[in-house]
Amino acid sequence: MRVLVVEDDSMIAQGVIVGLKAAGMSVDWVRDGLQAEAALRDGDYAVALLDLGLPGADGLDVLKFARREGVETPVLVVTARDGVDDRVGGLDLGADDYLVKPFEMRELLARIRALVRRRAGRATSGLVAGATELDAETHLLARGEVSEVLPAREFALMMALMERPGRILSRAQIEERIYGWGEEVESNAVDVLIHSIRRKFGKDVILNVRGAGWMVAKR
Amino acid sequence: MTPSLRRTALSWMTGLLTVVGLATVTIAYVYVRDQTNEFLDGQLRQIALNAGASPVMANAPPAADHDPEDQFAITIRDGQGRNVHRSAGGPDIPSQPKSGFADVASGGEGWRVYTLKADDREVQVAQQDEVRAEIVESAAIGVAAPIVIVIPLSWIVVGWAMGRMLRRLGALEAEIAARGALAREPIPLEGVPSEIAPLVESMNGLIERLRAAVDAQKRFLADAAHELRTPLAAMQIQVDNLAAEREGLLTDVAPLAAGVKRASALVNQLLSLARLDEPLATGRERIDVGALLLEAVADIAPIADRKGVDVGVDIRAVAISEAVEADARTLLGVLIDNAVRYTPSGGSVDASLSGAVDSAAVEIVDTGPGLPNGQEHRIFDRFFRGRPDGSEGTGLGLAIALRIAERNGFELTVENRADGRTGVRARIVMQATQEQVG
Repeated sequence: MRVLVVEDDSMIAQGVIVGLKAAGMSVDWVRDGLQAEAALRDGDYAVALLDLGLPGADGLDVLKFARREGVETPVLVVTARDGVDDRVGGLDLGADDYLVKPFEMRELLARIRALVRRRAGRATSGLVAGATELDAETHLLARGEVSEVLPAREFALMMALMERPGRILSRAQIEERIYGWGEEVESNAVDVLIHSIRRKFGKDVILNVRGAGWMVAKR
Repeated sequence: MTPSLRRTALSWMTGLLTVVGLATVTIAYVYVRDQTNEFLDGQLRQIALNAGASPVMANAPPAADHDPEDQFAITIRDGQGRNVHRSAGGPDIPSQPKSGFADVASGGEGWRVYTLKADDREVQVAQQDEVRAEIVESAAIGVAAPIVIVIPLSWIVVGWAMGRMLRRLGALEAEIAARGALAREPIPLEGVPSEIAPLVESMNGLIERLRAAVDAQKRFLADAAHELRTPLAAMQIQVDNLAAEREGLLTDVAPLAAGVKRASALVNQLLSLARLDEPLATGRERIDVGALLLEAVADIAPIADRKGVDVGVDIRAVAISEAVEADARTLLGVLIDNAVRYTPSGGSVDASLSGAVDSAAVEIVDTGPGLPNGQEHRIFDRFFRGRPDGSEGTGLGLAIALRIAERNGFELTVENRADGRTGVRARIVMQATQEQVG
């Protein structure tokens, strides 16, 4: 998998390159806007990391240029700007995702993998939250070393939680998602399902917030 | 401080009026004295010329307010020096050697005497000096009196006029005192006396320059925090790579990773603090306080779980408040983050939302060690950390929280629990419309 890194700060670039290579990717590095435009137009990259603060041309201009030229490479914008306007601007211009500096390497890798998967057309089927991945088609739940196909109700529960990682769902909300209308629900049904999932994947695969409900962590 | 304008004006005016008054009285006195003396001397002479040998008619009607002292004393002698006539009670003035005016002392009093000598007789008309002086004095007093009256009158009038002027300055003072540190508008010039206007204008200039300096400072803070992100990002990546290379030896890198993380947190908080110092830019909107509280709790849940802190939330009302949503998020996040940060493993953090008629209260209570003893008043200071020995925390959280509360009109209290257990109780009260849950 070839990745284009557009970054003028060599400290960051070299660190990112080491990290990406360690993850088995091959990396091309360009330092300014003009080179970036040329590389995006001519190269065939699985993903491009684009820093917004570049000498020569603004990162957003590079993005605009590439999209106008019909370059479809997924672009992950990496920026030190975190103003809401910058985010919206970047996404409007055709960025596929953004990451605010400073970031952790494993998060960068996860975002790259997600973009590549989405590009490959598997975007709708996979849900990612931190180290947890759920495949909507195969019902395979993977977390760290463990991966296992979930039974229907457990899958429905995980699906509900992972659609919006970081959001707490109450018992009633979960029951509504798992059970059909008019279906008889045991009072401890949700607890039983969660207990079963936690036994297989570890206690922190699902977090409990007393008084509110359950959630999966975003990262 | 120099004496007040009013007192200065009044004392100069009083001094001036006193000098003018004294000069007027002196000039009037001298002038009136000379004129009066000439006039009275003329009278003496006229009387002497017309005084005959015949005695005064005793039945002449008296003048109003007649004072016997005011009388002329007339003595008439014959050629041999015998007294032919002498006014009743008149002084015994000796015969003068020749005709004309003379000042004579008689009976302990000074007299002005006119003597008219002829072959067959000698007429002496005398008037007491004191009477003449009285006439002069009363004329001088008549001139001086209005000026003496004008002095206190000027105090009243000038004092009143100055008071009016100063009241306008007082209004100006109140206007300036009421200004917030962030007010950018110049001080209005209307109602300002024209002499004071240049002062106000130069103050406006100063305000403008100060604002520019403060803005530059803020931009610098924001830029500096911003610029720090890139090297921090580089360090974070290096640390991550190092950790990945030495899998299994994570403990080596952990302190370094924690340091980088803390520096990143500090930079982020500095940035938000710099942003919060801007006057409220984005408008307020209706926020669902319960939903935001739930999100804030959800954000901290993974950290709390890792740390072994039990987090609970109790939403007892649906409260809709008017605030800047990003501010409310940050505020709730800071308070919950602090609660979890300072609560040891095995402890608990309880967040709750309750509603009253037109307000809502969010409470976040922890089972940590509570506020540092004797330092409670410092918790909102920038860079003050409750437990400096703990390496986490930037010391900016509560400063940010307070700033947010102030600019959104929330009431924020952070204090030790009052229920006998150790721990901190943070409470936000905000105006809200609400519906009771179920």
